[in-house]
Amino acid sequence: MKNKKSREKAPLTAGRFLYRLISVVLIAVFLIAVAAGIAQIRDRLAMDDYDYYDEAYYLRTLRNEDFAGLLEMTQDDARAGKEYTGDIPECRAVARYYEAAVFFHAYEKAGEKERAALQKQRMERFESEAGEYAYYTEKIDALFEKEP
Amino acid sequence: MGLEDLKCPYCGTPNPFAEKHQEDMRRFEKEFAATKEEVVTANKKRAGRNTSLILILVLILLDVGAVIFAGISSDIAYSIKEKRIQAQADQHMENILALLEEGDYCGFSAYYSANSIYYATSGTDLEDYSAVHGAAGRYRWLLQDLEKYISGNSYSFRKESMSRTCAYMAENITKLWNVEDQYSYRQEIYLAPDKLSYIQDMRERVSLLLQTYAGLTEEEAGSLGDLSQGRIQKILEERLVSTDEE
Repeated sequence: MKNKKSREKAPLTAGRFLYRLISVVLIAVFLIAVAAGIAQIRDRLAMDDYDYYDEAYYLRTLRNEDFAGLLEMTQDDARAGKEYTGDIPECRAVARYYEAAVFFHAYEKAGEKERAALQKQRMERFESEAGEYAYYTEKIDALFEKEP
Repeated sequence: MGLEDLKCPYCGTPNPFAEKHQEDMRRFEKEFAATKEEVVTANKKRAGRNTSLILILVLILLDVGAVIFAGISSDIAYSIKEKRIQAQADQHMENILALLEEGDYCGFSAYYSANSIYYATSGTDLEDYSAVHGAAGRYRWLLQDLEKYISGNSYSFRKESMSRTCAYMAENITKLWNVEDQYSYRQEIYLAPDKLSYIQDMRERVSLLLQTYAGLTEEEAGSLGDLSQGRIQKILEERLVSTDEE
């Protein structure tokens, strides 16, 4: 049986207290710095994986008839290997229709028949890909009818 | 009688010398034990202090290392990203070339941003398209502004924003037409004929769209490379109609 006396704690002197305080502070600094570094690395890498463009965002932009915004979103949402699900492909098709329409009307007005025909083909393709949202293509066409 | 004999073995007389000797021996033993304990205790304390100091030093060194780690964590993340992208350089190159062949310059510019390609162009074939990428960025911003203008519901073309938007468009036009000045080093690579053909195509499209939608004349659209940025801005402000006025 161990001597009870040897198990008694030594008295907490000022020096011992200071030593413990310094140790705690240094350990805390170490843990905080390491945690901060790991968090920084993780956050920087996660920024690349963050997906801003979900279906709700696409549909909201489409329903607002913000075709320029929808097109910008469609172009920006270009992460390699990303799969577009839900109604997103249809929304993107409407955006591409708008893009093709911009060029179609420009080429047509300039008399560049071949290029205009190519854009027209693209418009027809995207209209069919727009599915239940194809009626938005009529609203897009209306934008160009009021052009001077 | 010896010093160990406290009494005479014959007559029993006490031996004062033996008593004194034994008393001295007891005293010496006591003092020795006390000194021994003092030395042991002092050594223990010294060893304890040394261990404490060593632990503090180790903690300080660990802290320095941890703070340096935290300070360079951005660089570490950058390095990891760079390696990830470089590992997929061939696939990215294939995708980029497909976009350029289709004439989807906006898609090309957006692809660069979405996939952080700029992290890892150095030393890869992707770097050769730096000038094309620079031009495509200007082209994309110009088209975005024109598309907003056409769709008619953009804040950018309200009266209070018109001047700023026109300034921005003028800057992009100027930079698109002066891409060669920005990539004067390694021109033989960045501005090789195949790369220039993409840049020229972008300029032709922008000229056409500005004529169609921004009211520029054929002459104005054909001389954008010769006009100053200020003059281009003025023309745009004169020709574009703010959404408030529609």
